Amino acid sequence: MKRLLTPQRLPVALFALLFIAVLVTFQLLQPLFLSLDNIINIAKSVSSTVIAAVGLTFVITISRSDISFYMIACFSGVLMAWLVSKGWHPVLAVAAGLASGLAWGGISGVAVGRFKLPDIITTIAIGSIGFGMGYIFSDGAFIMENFIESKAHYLSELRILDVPLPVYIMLVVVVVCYFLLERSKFGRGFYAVGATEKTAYLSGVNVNRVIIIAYVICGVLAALAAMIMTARQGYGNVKITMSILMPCFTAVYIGMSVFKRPCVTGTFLGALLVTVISTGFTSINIPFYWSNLVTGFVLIAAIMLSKVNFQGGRARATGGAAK
Amino acid sequence: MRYKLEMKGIDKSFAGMQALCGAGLTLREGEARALLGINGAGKSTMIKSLSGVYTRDAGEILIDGQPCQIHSPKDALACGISAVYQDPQMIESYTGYENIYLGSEGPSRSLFSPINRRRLRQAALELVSRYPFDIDVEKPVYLMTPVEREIIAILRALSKNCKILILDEPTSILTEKEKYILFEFVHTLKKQGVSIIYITHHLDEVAQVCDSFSVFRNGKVVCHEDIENGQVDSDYIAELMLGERLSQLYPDRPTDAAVSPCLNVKGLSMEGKFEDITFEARRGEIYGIFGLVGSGIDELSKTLFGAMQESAGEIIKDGKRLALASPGQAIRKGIFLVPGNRKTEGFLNGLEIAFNITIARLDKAADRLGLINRRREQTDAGALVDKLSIATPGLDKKVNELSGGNQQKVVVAKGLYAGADVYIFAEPTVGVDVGAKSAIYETMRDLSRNAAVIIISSEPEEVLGNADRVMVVYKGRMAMEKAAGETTLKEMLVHAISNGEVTQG
Repeated sequence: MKRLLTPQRLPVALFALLFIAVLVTFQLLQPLFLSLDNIINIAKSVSSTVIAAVGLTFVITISRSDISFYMIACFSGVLMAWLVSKGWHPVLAVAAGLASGLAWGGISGVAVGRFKLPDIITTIAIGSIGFGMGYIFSDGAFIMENFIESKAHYLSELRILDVPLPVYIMLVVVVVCYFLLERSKFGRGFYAVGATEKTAYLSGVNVNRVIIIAYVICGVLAALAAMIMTARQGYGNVKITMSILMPCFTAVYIGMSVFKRPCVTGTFLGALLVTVISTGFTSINIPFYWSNLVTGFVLIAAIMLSKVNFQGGRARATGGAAK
Repeated sequence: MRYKLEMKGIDKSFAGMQALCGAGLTLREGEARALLGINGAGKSTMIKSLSGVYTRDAGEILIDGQPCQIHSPKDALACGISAVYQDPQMIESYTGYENIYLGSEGPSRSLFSPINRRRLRQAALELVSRYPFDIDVEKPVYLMTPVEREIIAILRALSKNCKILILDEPTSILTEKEKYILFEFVHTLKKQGVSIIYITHHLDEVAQVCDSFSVFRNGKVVCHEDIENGQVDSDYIAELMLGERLSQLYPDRPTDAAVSPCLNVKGLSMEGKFEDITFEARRGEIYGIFGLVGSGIDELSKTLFGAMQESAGEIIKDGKRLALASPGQAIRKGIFLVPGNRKTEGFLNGLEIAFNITIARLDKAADRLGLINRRREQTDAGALVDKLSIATPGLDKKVNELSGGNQQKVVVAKGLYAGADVYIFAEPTVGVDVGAKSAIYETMRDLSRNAAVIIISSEPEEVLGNADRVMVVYKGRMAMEKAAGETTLKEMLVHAISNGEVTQG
């Protein structure tokens, strides 16, 4: 007879209990919390967090950090709005935004992988360059021109069978990334590089390529999240994703505390919890900084929990130039 | 006569492994004593017990006849004992004199009271003037040559009133000319009454620098002798270092093996590491390469596998010249390396056994879409775990939770899964128990039926016991190549420590 509650399943069960407890608490405090409108609202906001956090998962898996994704995403978001205002078709503008995310991620990846620069400080610098460049051509102003007219906001607002488009996008991203990272032979390379880099190299893994690809995936998905958030606001704003750094890291680390390794499923659950907490605070009219504060505590707790029983090399809050 | 230092009956064990058993040594004032022995014989444990890095399990340490309590490097320093290890650690951006007096900048009343640089510089110049060399102590350490760094490290020890100086392979990164400067320094120190413990693998240095030597074997000191007329008999010392003969650990050599050429290495060189290595590894045979740690054999193993690049020479496999830019390419060309350092190069820390076994050949575990077929992976990995009798409760056990022997078997299993025509085993049994050792040796012999197997090791017994033909590398050059039946352990070791010559100082 198999035991229902194995040591591996225990954290999952605890997570489920915690999640239900959070939902019930907010529902008791605010009867409208689990209304259809609010659920759709949460779903939209979960979508962008999940998409960006899944990208970050790849970088954490290779035992590194990316502090640039939320700033370069600002560039991609504002680039998309700017192109739309210049009369580009929204689909082309979104494609250009994704391409810019790919380029920024590629720059970070080459710097950290090929040139062995320290990951944290380098990505802070690259993110800062990206954000600065976004500011230059948006002038820091909102870009509203032609946005609604061209239906660019459909990226967030279009509904298919009553479900908003970002939810579909999120599901596609989660499924594809799940297979890529956790089921494919290619995904093994990310875990191998994250565990023992030299062993990975001596086992035939192309370490530099794996590092570059991890950063590219992170950049592209952050750009996608930024454009969804831009579409939701209905105008281009260079600060659009300045707030997603914490939720994304927290989501990844909650996932690690549940599954003891970075993974797409864990990140998805983590993002769900983080978003429910922050929207919950908003719905009971507690100011945003309380939600920041609580997210901070959740992140610290998740980091600590992720180290318990976690044998995967160095489980670290921030990545590792220390090689 | 009274000894400066006397160590008696030192015992030390690690996790049940006896590293030192009743070892002792003596040192007179101004005497330099060489510690000799193959890897794992107990030399390092002995000096680390003296310098306070390890706490001994039993035994006494007497200085000037007085028992001393040494439980930490700080205690050792207080007793006038300092150790200088190879490639000493220093603060690169500080000048020589700042490094010499690091941590002993003089009495300071508070954290912020300024360091009197002029006084330190003066003291350093005064210290240097007692010795026969020119060294610019105002130069930052990162601009210094290896021998200057070594001298700064020794001066640092001297500034702390060191009476017993331990030098651990001080010449391993020095050129011949630099060695001469260091030896002059050591001679002056001896005249000034400093006693020296000198660890080295090179007998020519022993003859030049030391007055006596002690040979370690299996945690015991098997001989103390004085050196007369600067002459060292390498034959005699090799015999002392080896002691017992080959045991039954090694599988029999098959008499009916079909031998055919496979890998040809011609004039392979890497600047500063090894030079002009030429040999042929054949299917049906095990080829052995023996050299001491630091002789370039580790770099050689990585070059054959594409992980390091040669500066000259060629690697030819089955008639085709290979240009290996990465281990990935080497694996695709049918070469596999079981690398020398299991923890950082062999297995993936924190990941499962099955993951580790399939990592070098994922296309075999994946379907056409590139997705891993988990059932097939489990079956194949399970078969290898059974074949190598890896002791584990399951395939999802993390490799780092296994014993050293089983960890190494997982690394070997990775090679078996990948499949190759050339298997290179570098230091395959470091930290591996006897049972796993013989299993690994048997696997090597098994593989040699269809592939060329190369064993590269700093343990002479394991090379001679397994290989059909052996090469000995001395300071990066081939010192000897013979059929295993035509040579002896002693001959191999003599070539590895002295290029086969009796050395004179």
